[in-house]
Amino acid sequence: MMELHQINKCLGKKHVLKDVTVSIPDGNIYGLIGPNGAGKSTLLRIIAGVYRADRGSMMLDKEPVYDNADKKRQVLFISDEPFQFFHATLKDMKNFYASWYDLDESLYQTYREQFHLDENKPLKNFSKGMKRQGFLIIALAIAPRYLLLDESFDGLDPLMRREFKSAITARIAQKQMTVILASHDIKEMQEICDAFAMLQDGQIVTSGNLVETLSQVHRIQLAFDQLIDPTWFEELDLISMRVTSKVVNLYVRGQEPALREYLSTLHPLMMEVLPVSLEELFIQKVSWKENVQ
Amino acid sequence: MNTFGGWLFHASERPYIKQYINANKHLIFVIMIFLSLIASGSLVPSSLVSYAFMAFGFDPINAYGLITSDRSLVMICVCMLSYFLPIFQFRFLMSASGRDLYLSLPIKRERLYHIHYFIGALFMGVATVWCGVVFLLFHPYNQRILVSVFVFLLFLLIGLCLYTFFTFLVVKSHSLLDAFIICMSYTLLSMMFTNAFQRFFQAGAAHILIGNGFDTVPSHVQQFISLLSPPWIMFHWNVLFLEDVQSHLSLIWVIVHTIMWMVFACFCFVYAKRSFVRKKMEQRKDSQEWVTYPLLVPMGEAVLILGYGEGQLCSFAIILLFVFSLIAHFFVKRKIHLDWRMPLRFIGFVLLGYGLMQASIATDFFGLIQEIPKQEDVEMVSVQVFDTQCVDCSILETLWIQDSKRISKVMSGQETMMKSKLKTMDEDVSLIVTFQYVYHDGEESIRSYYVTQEQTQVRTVLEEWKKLGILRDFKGVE
Repeated sequence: MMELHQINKCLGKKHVLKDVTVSIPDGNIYGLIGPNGAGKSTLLRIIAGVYRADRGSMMLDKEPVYDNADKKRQVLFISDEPFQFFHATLKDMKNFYASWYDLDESLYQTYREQFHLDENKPLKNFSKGMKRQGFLIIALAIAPRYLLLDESFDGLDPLMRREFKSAITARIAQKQMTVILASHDIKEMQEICDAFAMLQDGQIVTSGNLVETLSQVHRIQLAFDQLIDPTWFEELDLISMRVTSKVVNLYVRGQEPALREYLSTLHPLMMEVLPVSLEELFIQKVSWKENVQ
Repeated sequence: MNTFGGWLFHASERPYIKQYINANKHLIFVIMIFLSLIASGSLVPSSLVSYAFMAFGFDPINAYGLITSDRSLVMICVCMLSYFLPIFQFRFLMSASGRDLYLSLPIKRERLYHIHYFIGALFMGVATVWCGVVFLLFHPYNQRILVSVFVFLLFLLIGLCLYTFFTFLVVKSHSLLDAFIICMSYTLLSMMFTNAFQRFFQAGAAHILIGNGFDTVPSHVQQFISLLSPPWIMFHWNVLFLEDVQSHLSLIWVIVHTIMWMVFACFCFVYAKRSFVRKKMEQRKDSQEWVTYPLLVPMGEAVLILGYGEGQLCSFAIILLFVFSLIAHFFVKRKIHLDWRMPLRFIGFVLLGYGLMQASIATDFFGLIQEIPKQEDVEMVSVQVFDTQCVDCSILETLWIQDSKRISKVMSGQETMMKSKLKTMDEDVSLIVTFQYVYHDGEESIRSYYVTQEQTQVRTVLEEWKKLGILRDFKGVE
């Protein structure tokens, strides 16, 4: 179990992470979602032991990760722009990683053939997507306990994305690997993640199991025969509310039957309860927070 | 702990070290070939080396002189290795992606530093020994083989000191460009300081002697300053066993400076490791650690103001230096923004240079400049008398006088000229008397005085010199 408690980090004068507290269960795909500059990459670097938190603790099985070789052996970080040596080939990079981690050579070769990657060609001659594929197959051949991927699907075509997602899922099933993915592509995160944390301005605005969280959030559209008074909805656990004369759109947390029962007491002309996507939830959370601010 | 390679590397690090060497084998091969060509004398002709060597004041006339000048090429290679290797070894610190990769690896930072430092140091050792072997094979002067081996070992030792110092600077830098500039600046700074001190001294001497000649920096001071730079220590070791230069060099100073640099390198090693372990990898891109630009720029300013401002409050050189300082300031900040402290600092240095010059003038450059030298320091002297009013009989000079009795007479005559001298060249001036001294350590100084023949004491001195054969026939005196 990976536990981050009250993590704070400043980069220069900017307070990038503010009291971030997250528990990441094993054997999951955990998504770090947020707009650019939200602090996702900084959080990944703290988990990988590249940065040290200014305040707070980052524990893996109750031991700190920073400058701890044993714990770091269980963590592999693939950054958004992976480092490559001058004129290095995929084989060179594989050998480099293999000198630090246990790499399954036969699996690496299988992936390499599956994704049609020439290991003797210099990486500088690879396209951006091919480079990412190269580093991803190395990461999958290593299959560490925690695999940290920063925007790693950027530059991959939809077919490759699908193939990599299924490869990741298969490796999780084999090795009980936990994948922590940082991305601003929320649709994609919804497809692949089991759990998530949503970051906005260095703070976690919501987190938890994806299915459970989304089943708890509803978009409700109501129409009334009179002008709407916003105080009617004060008792609800609102995420956001948009009133247009006699019509209101609510994003609200709670059990659907209980919400229907409560809202029926307001005698709406029309009531429609819709499921919410992660992207919608993100947009409502962010825009509502900004409106409140 | 299970180790291999003695205490240097842990067994768990072996795969990485093997992979690292394997990944760089082509580069290692190219460098070794290049070093072999240099050490064998195949790449640079000996005549060119000898010419360059003579430019430093040493004449490689004999076989051993030639071998010394050839050996200095190896010295330059060792210096270059010590400059480039730290940048190569720690280049991963210079990019965000490199830091992400290396610092997320399952290894303690201290061990990561050790591995990269010692791989570089071992390579320096192997390369220097290889150069030594190739050199001895191609320059088989067997009678001096032990001296060459000893000098190569000293090259390696001082090269490692330099390598450690540059490692410290590279660890403190935040980009490849900064690492190159900072290491290069520290290399040049010691040379600039030597040159600046010479210029400042000569400017001071000109003030003190008020047009009566010039003086060079005393050799012991010059040697002390030059030994602040490790390449110069290597150079001194290289030529120390040349018979014709032994008298100019003080072995004890070279040993003291070598030991000083070894101690300094130990500190650099410890502090570089500590800096590496504690380094905040998220730091800004420009290098702002105190040992980098914040120290380097003011030091450079001070040295330039000292050397080229020549203790004046305002001159074209000072205005030019201010412009250079501004450019350096903007480069360091990576933006065109004037910090009010920068001009204040510059003015402070100019005032300091002025104050230092005034103090130097008041104290005869802290006792370093003596208008009349000590007789025991003088090897030989010559006197030249120039009659400004006699067109046909203009110059008369002595041959070099080396016997102590006549040297003493010349010096007492100089005392008379000093007392009788006119400060400017006006119509009363009829004679210019110039004394040229050569000292036991090879240094020289010149003193000139404007005097009139009508002064009795001047005439008496000239007559006495003529009687003693110090001056040959001189029509102006007749």
